[in-house]
Amino acid sequence: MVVDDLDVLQEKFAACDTIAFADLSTQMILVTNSATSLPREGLDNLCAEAALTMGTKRRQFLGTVPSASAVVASRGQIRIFLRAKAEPNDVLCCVSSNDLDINAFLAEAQPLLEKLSTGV
Amino acid sequence: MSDTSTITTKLAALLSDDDAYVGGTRVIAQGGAPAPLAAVLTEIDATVLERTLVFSIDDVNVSMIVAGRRLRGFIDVSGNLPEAASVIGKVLSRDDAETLQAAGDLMLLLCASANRVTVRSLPAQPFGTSADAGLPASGLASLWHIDLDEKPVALIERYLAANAADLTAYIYVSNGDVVKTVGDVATLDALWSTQVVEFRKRHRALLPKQDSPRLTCLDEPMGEGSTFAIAIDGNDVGLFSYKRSQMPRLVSAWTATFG
Repeated sequence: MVVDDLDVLQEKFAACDTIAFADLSTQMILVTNSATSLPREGLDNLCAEAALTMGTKRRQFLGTVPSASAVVASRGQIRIFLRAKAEPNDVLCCVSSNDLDINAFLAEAQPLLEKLSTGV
Repeated sequence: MSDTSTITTKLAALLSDDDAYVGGTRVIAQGGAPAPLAAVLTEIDATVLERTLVFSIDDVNVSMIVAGRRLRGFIDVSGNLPEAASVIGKVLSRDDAETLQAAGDLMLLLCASANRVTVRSLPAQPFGTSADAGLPASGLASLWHIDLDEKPVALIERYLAANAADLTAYIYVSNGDVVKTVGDVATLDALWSTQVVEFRKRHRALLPKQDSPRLTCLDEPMGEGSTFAIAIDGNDVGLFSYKRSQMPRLVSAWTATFG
């Protein structure tokens, strides 16, 4: 189950509140970790921010090609967006407090995203 | 309170929703902007009714009795600092130059490299006599050689300069004007002139509640190996390319500066 994989990742990184698997082609969050505190509107905003910052196949607002990842730091919070290599519409979105170990998180999150994206 | 404009200014400050809070304390200086001691004196200058102001200067708490926009004295300084011993419990007065100098030395020491200063306003505690008025903030600024009117360096500009070693190029833009460029900024300049306005417009439309200062770091937005980041704080914008391995450090520096 995808939710179980997301829960395992979230449990490894206590600073993370929300980890979500999303499809940028439809701009929909497909599944989140079970303990997320974000309401539906928050999840919609998260997906919209992923599309805006990283860009989609149709349009980039920053840069010339869709970005591989984005890290957004705002007051008291970090949001991380990761794109799957095999299917660029598949992304992992994370909402965390600003004490997250970003390198350690990225090292675990990218392989998980590839697994979820390819279904392998 | 001397005139209505002062009252208006203070009411506007009370109504402002730009204040940042950490653990219930209001942040008055972060990342050196404004200058920490100037920020402390500004708070004293804004305090009319008698209060205990507790300033947290990084990890040291300094409790002062303040009234009538004047600092009456220090009632506590955490950490058993030897420099505080000759100041705590003494009323500040122009007649006691030694204590005044010691108070100045203490505050300059604490504020010299402070990253964050916060303030809490608590009920006043008994201190001295009613005749012990203390010194006005403006007088302390003069004695301690602090310019309260100094224009602070914008936080974005300060952030870019402080982290320049991890950046390969940057542009600092204020109120739409490119103020400073460092390194080969041809790509950054193109992004600034063709994409940033539209990006910000879209961002405001999609996420109107997320207009606080933010840093966005992008990996490979112009193809393999490229990096690009945009830092936004109101009308100040920084665009930069960075060393990929330094991204977590740059994010950490951002949160240390902007909370």
